[in-house]
Amino acid sequence: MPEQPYIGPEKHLVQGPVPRSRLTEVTETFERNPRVGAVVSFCGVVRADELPDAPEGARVEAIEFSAYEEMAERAIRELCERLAGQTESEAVLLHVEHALGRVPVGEYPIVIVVGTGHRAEAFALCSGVLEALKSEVPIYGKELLDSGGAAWKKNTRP
Amino acid sequence: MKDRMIDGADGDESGEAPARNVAVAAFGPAAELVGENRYLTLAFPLSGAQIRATVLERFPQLSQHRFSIAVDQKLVQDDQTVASGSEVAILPPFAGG
Repeated sequence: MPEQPYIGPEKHLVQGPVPRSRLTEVTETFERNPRVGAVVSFCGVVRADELPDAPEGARVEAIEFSAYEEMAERAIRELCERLAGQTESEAVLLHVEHALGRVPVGEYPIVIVVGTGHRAEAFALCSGVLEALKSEVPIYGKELLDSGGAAWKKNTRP
Repeated sequence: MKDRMIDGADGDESGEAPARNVAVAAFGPAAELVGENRYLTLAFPLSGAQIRATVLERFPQLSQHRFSIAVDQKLVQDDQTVASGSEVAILPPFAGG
């Protein structure tokens, strides 16, 4: 009998970058479940992009994230429940955190950690959650340039 | 039609509810275009398309921008009927992750 999926943490949106320590903490917790044979994680990292319309040489130094918070919390929970529910595995453990506020270059706006019985489900669930989050959750990011300007982030490429 | 209704109807489904003020919440780039503490006057039931048209009439500055509509935190398609609501959200394309 498979266990009920675990979905955490209680609040998926956190103020500031998702702490780097989260990856190891959650991975170690998931590894301790005796039915887990695969742990896959994803960390999004803010890039120092040069934007097409920005002054030459100007680069992104941080992204300021905002959200329709109540709706976003619920949308993340719902997509996690839907995708975890579709995953056939003896264990499904899923951790999703997304940053709000300022996230500097090199820091994490998002961390996803998945634990399942075998690797294929873990990879599929991790990638499925990320794609669903990008298309279903009302989160916005303003790219702040080191030259002082800013531009709204668009999710255009995979 | 009834299976396309979302949210609960306010009282008598047969008659139109009187027009009422509904809060407008705008996010991301739309927040800068619409500003804060905005209201729309709506008489439910309304289709998603009717709500969108009212939003564009009230905020013509959004006409060159793509956005979805949510009523009380539920996304509404143009062909969906909304029975009632107390908040309309203007949601530009999402950019999380």
